[in-house]
Amino acid sequence: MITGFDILLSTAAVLIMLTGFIRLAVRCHRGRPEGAQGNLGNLLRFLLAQARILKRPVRGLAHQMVFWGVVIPLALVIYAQFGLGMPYTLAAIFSLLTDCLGAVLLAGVVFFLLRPRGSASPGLPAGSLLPALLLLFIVISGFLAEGSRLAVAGGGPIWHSPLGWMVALIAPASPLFMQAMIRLHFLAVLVFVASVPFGFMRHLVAASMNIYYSRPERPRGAMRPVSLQAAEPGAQSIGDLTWKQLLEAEACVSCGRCQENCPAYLSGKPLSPRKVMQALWGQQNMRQAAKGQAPLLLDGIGADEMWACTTCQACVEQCPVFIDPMDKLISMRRFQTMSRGALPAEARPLIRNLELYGDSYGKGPALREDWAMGCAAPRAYGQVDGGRALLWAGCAGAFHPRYQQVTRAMVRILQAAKVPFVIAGKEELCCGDPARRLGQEDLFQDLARRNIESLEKRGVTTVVAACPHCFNTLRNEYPSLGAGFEAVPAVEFIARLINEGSVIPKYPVEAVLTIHDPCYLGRVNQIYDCLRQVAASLPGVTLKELAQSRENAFCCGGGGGRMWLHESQGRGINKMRAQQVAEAGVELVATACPYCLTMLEDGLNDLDVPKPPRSIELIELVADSI
Amino acid sequence: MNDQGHRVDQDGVRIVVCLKQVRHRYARTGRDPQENYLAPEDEVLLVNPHDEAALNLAVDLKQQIGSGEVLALTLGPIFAPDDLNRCLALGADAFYRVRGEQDQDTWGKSLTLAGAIRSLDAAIILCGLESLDNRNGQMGAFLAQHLGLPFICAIRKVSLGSGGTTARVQRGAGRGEQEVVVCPLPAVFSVDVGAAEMRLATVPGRRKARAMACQELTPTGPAPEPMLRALEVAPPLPRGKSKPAPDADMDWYQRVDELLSGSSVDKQARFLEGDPAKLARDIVEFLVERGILEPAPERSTEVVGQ
Repeated sequence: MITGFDILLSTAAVLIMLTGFIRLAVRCHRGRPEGAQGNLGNLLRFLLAQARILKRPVRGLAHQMVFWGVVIPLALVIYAQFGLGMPYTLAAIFSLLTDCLGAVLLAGVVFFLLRPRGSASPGLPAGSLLPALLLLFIVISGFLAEGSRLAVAGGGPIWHSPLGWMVALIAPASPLFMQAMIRLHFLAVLVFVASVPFGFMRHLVAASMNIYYSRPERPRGAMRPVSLQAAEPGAQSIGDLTWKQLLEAEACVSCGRCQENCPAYLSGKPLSPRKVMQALWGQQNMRQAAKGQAPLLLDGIGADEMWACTTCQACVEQCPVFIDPMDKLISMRRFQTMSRGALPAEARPLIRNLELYGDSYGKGPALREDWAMGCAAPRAYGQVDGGRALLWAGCAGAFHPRYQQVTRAMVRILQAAKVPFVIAGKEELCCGDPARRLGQEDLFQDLARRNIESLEKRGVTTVVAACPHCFNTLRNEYPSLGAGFEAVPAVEFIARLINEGSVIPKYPVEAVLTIHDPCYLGRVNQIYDCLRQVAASLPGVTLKELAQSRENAFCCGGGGGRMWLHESQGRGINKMRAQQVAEAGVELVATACPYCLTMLEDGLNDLDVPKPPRSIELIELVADSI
Repeated sequence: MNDQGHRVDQDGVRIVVCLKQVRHRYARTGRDPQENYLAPEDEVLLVNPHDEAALNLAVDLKQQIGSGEVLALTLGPIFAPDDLNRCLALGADAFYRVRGEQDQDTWGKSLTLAGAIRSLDAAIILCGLESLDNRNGQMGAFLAQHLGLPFICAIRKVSLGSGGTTARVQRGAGRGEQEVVVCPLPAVFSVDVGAAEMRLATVPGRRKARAMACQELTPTGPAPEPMLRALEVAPPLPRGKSKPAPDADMDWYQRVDELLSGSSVDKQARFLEGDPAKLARDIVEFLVERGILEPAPERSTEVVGQ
């Protein structure tokens, strides 16, 4: 029975909760505008079914138990208070459900309380102890209240309250005790409800909102657009982030899954994606305390953290609530590079090379088609007639001696398959990927516009690129600048040719082979299967998967402009990956990316094992086999 | 010129930096002898890197003092606007273009520049140690001569002495040593690239540079007489084979195919047939015919024992 005092208390609790939500909304609305779109389907899949949380089965199940153990009984109890009446059987079934879910919640909360804590293992996120204890108290007081109620009422076992009846066996049959427990239980629930928007439990709403707004308005491989017209482009202080970026900071519960998969963190660099999101949240709090004075992002996230990111998107892949820590780091990089000129000194010659010569090697367009000497590859100096594919060499494919071999191998495959194709030769420029990922957005846009103009002028409809970074930029980032052609990764193109039967690998490659998934094909563009399909089509190959493969693949350490930055902290990421490859006991590790190839080659050569595996390009394997 | 607004600050120093625009030819891939075998994509337009180093030094000095003015100056028509703009974005406060001819000799250019610089009333005049195209490294010395100022070449660092009437200059002194020279101001210095960090142009800097007005300077005095005159200009030698040796990664068929196709040098092949002894004779005959082997002297067929 509800007294007026109870209603007063409940109203107060709900008011406090609402105030908290308004405060959350206000905090996010301080951000810059951004047009994010909502998606109900995502909400169903990732909030109710918790598909991403269940990627870790044990933790995921415990989370499910707590989630449903809170949501359903709370809803039922609230409904019951309105006295709308329901048939006895239904009420009994609901009672049984509440009883059972109480036990489930208890199990879940106990699991979370018993998990190891500390910074070494991600463990329980900071600030989760109080809510967990509160839930524990709610469950126990609930059962005690129910048990003592049944004990006071007397009578035998009741099927719709089995646990309550069991507690009744030991609970004192005192109406005073019952009343005390009911009051305590009720009060604890009110405290819980009121505290949801504050602290750890805010993720109930913030994370749900983040999932709802997670439908990307741009492909995953495309960086956030940035206005070059701003007085100082990029994000200097927390006030320069958009409301969606701030919402992500609120939604993070610092569960640590990002950090468990971050190559920079695992190799001992100061960067941790979890720390990035926590620092942003901390700065939001500081900003609120300082009455709107927005703290500088660099005060919370150090320069060495910012530059350590390889943009491999492992954190983005793992986050159960679709937080993207990489995106914040790129916003920061943009400010440091474009507005302060504070790009690490070792990468500045790269920018200069791109400005002057239009390629990352500083060799110049005059020498750009030299790789094709001796290949009968037709140059695209005229109009490209319908359907002819354009083979995009990329800077590495055009200038890096090792990767030139791969480009020539690709030409051999295309010629063997009698696929009509052209190359852009001297008209090709760097796609702009390293410039964009190092924060030099103006240079990226300049290169992209010139590339798009020359390709569109020639009437190109299909671009085949061996380098996944070029491919990703061409496919995902160029359309927003007006490109209308289709980009295909070379491996996928070869897989198609093999399927059609126009390329038939016949010479055996007798080797135990594994695949190293390049980040920009795999996680960023969800291309996993065609690599395996191509590898499996080679006669004699025994395919063996690495322990960390597909979406869990470990980065080589070369992406995101890291190819041009020094790696002075921690272990070499490429050496860690080489170690993993060596432990798999394979002879060959095939990849499909110039960075991966170079990084793995270096890492494997550095290994202290008698017969290290050899790294090779999948394209070369196919070309040697036909 | 001086009354157009750039008054020297009481304690600020006025630094003039001469920037030379350069057509840097990094490759020679053309096919036309008339064009000296140069294709349009073989050149990049940029500001001479030594001059950029001089500008960086000037900006550093200005930041070190906390006040002052960096005046960038170029001679002749502007043909590398993008890179010039990038350099101005590194921290120049004003930009002057000196009317004059580009195709004078260094003496003539230095006379023109000196006339313009005189009107700017600068305390320090900086130029690059040498230019990427001519590399004669005379400009600084000639300027100092015309202006009647002291000159120090190949400096790497500069700071102001006490009172601001002298400059302390650091320069390489050979054997890895660095020497520090004190020099009264005003003075002319030429700047070596050194090991200084490359400065990146920022987006706000570029915006400011684009908005910067280009102020024209017309040198006074008579048109300079050239001191040097080229007697003869020799065009580059004709290019050799247009194809390099075939790639060792290719298989034999591709290599032979490449050797036989598409070269500017006519190549012929003759297929030899017959038994090995005849083949060997034919090969020797073939090589002797072309003067690759000396004809064997007449001698008995006995093999001399070892």
